[in-house]
Amino acid sequence: MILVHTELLLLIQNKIMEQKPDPLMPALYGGLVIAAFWAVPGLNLINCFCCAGVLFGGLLSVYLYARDLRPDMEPLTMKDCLRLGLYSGVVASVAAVAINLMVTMVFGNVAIEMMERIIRKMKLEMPPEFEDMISEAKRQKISPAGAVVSIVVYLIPNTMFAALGGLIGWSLFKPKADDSTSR
Amino acid sequence: MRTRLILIGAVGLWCCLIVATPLLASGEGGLRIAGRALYVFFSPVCHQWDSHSFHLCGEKFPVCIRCSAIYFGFLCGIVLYPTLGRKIEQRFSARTIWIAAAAGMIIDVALSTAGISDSSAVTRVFTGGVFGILAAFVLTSLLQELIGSSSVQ
Repeated sequence: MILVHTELLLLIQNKIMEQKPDPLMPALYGGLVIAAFWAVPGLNLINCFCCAGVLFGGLLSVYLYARDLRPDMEPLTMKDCLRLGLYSGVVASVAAVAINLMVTMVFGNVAIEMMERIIRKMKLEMPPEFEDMISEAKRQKISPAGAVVSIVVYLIPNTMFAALGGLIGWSLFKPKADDSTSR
Repeated sequence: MRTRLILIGAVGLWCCLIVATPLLASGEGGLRIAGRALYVFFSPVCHQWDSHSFHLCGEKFPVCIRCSAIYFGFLCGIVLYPTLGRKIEQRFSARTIWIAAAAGMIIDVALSTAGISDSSAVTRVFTGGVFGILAAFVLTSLLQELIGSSSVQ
């Protein structure tokens, strides 16, 4: 009798609990941050370090989502974090290529030149391959087929590392065991 | 146990691809094309600078020394998780482990960027390896849970 009563209470509590916020907005912000890490000259060097910018974007989307959760809502789950990371990765792949295309169409290869100037100004010691990389980037032309290939090439690391960023977010922002809202 | 084997298999495959890339690229015909395709696959993940990479059969790894150390460290971390990782995970918070993992690498990069001391292959392997192992100590249980839940579904 008591068991049935408790189950009924839990059922009512679940019904009363508000729905979680929409994950699309945090994922969009996370994705745009990742895209900025790919597209902004100088900043894109961060991704040379095991896609750190992508990991950060996934983590950021989880942080933003966790911040929107109120105590009367269902608690954050690992699947939410993973989903947020994956969405961010997909958004980032499309947005990064779109931003790159727009910048190249409007300003030409000014982004590459800007990055070169920043690095020279900071007097960072870059390996000889850096010069080759810069000159190759300056030679690159934009094409619709190239853009599609870029999205596909970037989709795998973006979704993979952003999902990993989401998991890092879960390890940092998961509800504590003694939290009444946790499950 | 099954989920851990799947995880070791997946990360092991990733590490095998890293080692296979220069081996394939040093080959002829189709093998060489497969090697080049793997370089393209890994290109968004790492800068692939020749001077910052390990070499095998005269060809560079598709990721730099630090990234290689992170991935192989991660694999070691998953293997070590039942004996060492679980204890560390229980004793310290995830935040503390992440800070400890990243500290070495941040210091190494900062000192090198500031021109105080050059980061060498040894420091890259050490700091990257420590990061990979500690990252695995935090993420293994989560990834196992994830694989477990998806295989149940």
